This record gives sequence, structure tokens and C-alpha cells, in this order.
Amino acid sequence: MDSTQLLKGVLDLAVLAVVDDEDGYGYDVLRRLRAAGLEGVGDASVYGTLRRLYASGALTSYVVPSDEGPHRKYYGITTAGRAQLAQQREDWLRFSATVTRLLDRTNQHQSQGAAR
Amino acid sequence: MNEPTMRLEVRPEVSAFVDQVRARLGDLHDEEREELVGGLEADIAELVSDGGSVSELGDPRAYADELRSAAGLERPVGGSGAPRTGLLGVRRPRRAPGERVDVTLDRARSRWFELVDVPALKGPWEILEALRPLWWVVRAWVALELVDYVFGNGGNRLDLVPTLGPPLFDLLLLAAAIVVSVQIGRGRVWPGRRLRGAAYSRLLLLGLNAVAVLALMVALPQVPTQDDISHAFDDGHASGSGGGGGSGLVHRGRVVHNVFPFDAQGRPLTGVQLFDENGSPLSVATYDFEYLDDGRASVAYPWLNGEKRLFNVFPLPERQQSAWRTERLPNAWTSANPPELPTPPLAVVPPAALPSERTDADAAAPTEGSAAPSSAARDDDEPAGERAGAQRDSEKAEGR
Repeated sequence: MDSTQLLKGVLDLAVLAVVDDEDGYGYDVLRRLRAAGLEGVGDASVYGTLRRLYASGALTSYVVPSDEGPHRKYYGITTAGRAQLAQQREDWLRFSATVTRLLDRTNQHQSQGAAR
Repeated sequence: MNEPTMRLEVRPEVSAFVDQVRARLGDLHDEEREELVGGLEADIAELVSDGGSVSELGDPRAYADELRSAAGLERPVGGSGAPRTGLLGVRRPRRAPGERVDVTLDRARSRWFELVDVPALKGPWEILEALRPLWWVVRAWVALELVDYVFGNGGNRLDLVPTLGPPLFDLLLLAAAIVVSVQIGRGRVWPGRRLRGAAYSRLLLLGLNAVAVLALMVALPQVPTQDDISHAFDDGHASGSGGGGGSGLVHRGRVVHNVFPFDAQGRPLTGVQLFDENGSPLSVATYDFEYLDDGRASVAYPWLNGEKRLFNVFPLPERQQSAWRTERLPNAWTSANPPELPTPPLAVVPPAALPSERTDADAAAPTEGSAAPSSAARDDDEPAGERAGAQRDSEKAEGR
């Protein structure tokens, strides 16, 4: 299965989790997601998700000026963002557990069928 | 903010890439676009300094579409986009109602831009977009005309400059309204235009624009056409607009077709010439006629002074003619059916007298006719004693 399709569903959750861990700017969040194993995540998808979570109030944003070069835009999580993260974490755990159970059961059926 | 700000070199290809992304997002509001693109230069510059390259980011257009889609501002067509139903569609993240409005408006907006992005519509749309400032001016005028219509003395007339006050004031008001409208159009003047919480102010603006469009659609058919203007002269006297537009006699907004004079004794007169206080003849319109019920028209014929036709001598002879031939026929008087002096609408009317000519008979039998001078005038030289006089005195007292 194409993992990018799966990723789209959980990108909000992943980004919220990373920013909850520590404030970060766009490329920083992207790097941490990739370091955590989500290598297929797209640059623009992460940046866009950050902007959207900011617009919906789950993240705050502040600009850190630099003497030279462009300013960095940092994102931090808000209370609303933490609530969303908790909710989505719960959703994810329940969902993945459900899918895992389902896969285990069908796997048993298959192996039983093969044994006969 | 764990890392100190480090020096970051922005290479030209990074700037160029960001510019192309920005261009691809050209249909978004300035603020929305900068919200998306702001910080992108730093992110990509760092990617490059980390050993990456701009080329691995792919096509800037695709990159921009991905950015837009992930940010929830996706173009509806062609973008499979990130699901907007929250995590795996299980639960939708709670949104403020204002934000939902914003999202809906943004969607409609990007859908529209998608629609006009086809080659056939691109040209016309670009022309319309170039004409946008014209709309800003027009809607300012519409707004003032609406105010004028409701509160002003311009009535339901449309005019170039609304008539709300002195002419100079109106001009200044129109200028001010245009400036405000243009500034709104340019996004300079409108409360709450910031990215968040702008939903209701956007809705308000949308609603006001819609009202202006509707008002314009209602008002445009009322703008006088050349045809209306050419008919205005003819219609003027018929509509009884004070008689200003026509050339005939008008009484209380109705065209007078004929006049029936009576003398002081209340007997009908024939051949009475009427003039106003300036010595101008009081004529009915020379082209005047009156439609009858049965498809015929009653046409008034003038009296004559030699060759001169006089329409101020009353009553005018009348002749029934076909409603299709309402002009004055040259052979009418010699025809089998010549014009005739019409029968007066009243056989006799109550007599009238000046206060100085009053007779005992008048006093003894006061008429109810309104033709008599006012009772107040009569009372002035009336000794109060007899019954009628006493009654008039009480009327007079009541009247004051």
C-alpha cells in the first residue's frame, strides 16, 4: 500500500505530536518527522499542514528574525492544539488497534485454511 | 526555539523557486498567500544548506498545489488533496463557525478561479478583472442612489449625482463614497480583514456587493432611453407633471379637454376667451382629443379668428371621429357630421356674486354652491342679527 496515502490521514497528528514535543519551524518539523521514520512525507505537505493548523488555532506562530537571510517562522502548540492532539491520538490508537485485531484474525483464518 | 539563529544563505534558485510558488498561488488573498509562502524561503534555504537541492523539490507548480492542498485551500478540481475530515475521517476537528464560513468562501473562490482558468474564459475574465475598479466606482454611486432613494429628495429619479443636499455637497459626497469604495476594493478599508475572524466581514462585503448588483439590475431599466426622452414631451402633459411638459390645460394632474364657462347667474356661456394673468391664452393642447369607449375619439375643434385657430375659446366644438384619425380634418365643418358645441356637463350652476353686489335674495337663500365667495368674506359686512347671519358667525368662530 502506498504509505503516502496513509500518511495524509495522520499528518495532522504527526505534526501536532512533533510540535508538542518542541516548538519548531517548517524545515525543522520536516526533518524531525523524517528522522522519526516518516520518510515519504512531502515538504510542501508538512508546510501546508503547519499553516492550516495555525489557521485553525491549533498552533501559534512567532517569527524569529535573523541578522542575515530570511526570518524563521516558529510554530508552537496551543491548548486547543493539545486537545486536538489528545483526541486524535486516542482515535489513532483505537483505530490502529482495531485494524491490527482485524488483520490478526484474518491472518489466523488464512493459516488455519492453509493447514487443512 | 532551541537553535540559535544561524546565518542562512538564500541562493538565487531558492528565491526563484519561491517566486514561482507564490505566482502559482496568485488567486489567493495576499494575506493567505503570504501566510503560506512566508518562511518558505528559510525552510528551503536550510534544506539546500543541509545538502539538498531545489531540483529534488520538483515542479514549483506541483509544490504549490501540494502546499495549498495541505493548507486546506485546495483547488477543488485536480487536487486529490489532503482529506479535510480530520484523522482518517473518524472525527472532524472542531471548527469555529467563522472558520467554516471562511473555508466555504475560500473554496467557492478557488472553484471560481478554476472555472475561469480554461482557455476559452481566460481572456474575458482578464478583461473583467481589469474592469474591477469600474465596479468600485459604480457601487459607490449605487449606494448613494439607494440612500437618495430612501431618504433624499431625488425621489425615484436616477441622476448622475445623488441629490441629498446642496450640489457641491453632493459632489463631495459622491467623491468620498468612491474613495471609500475603491479603498475597500483594494483591501485597505474594511474591518477585520485579517486572516482569522474575517469571515463575517467577508460575508458582509459579499452581501453588500450583492445588494449593489441587485439594485443596479432594478435601476437600469429605469434609466431613460432615447425613446423615453423623445416621448417625454408628449407624455408630460398626460402625466400631469404640473403641466410643465405639455402645452395644454391641466387641472389637478388631469388633462382638461374642454372648458364650460357659466355666468354669474349660473347660465352656460358660449364663446368665452380665456387668458391667464400674463395675457397668454389658456388653450387646451392643439393636438388634444379624448378617447371614448367605443373605439371613437372626441376631437375638439378650434374657434377661428380669420385663419388663426383659437384653442382658448370655450366651449370648444367637438366632433366624434375614429380613434385612428384624431387629427382635425380640414373638411370637418362641411361634412355631414360637423363639430358641435357640446352639451355642458351641468345645465345650470348656482349663481355667484361679489361681496359688494350682494342682494337680500342671496342672504335669504344662501346656496350651498362652492362658487360663492367665502362665508368669512361675507360676514365682514354682515350685521349679525338675522338667523342665517348668526349661524354663519358660529361657523366663523369655529373656523378660527
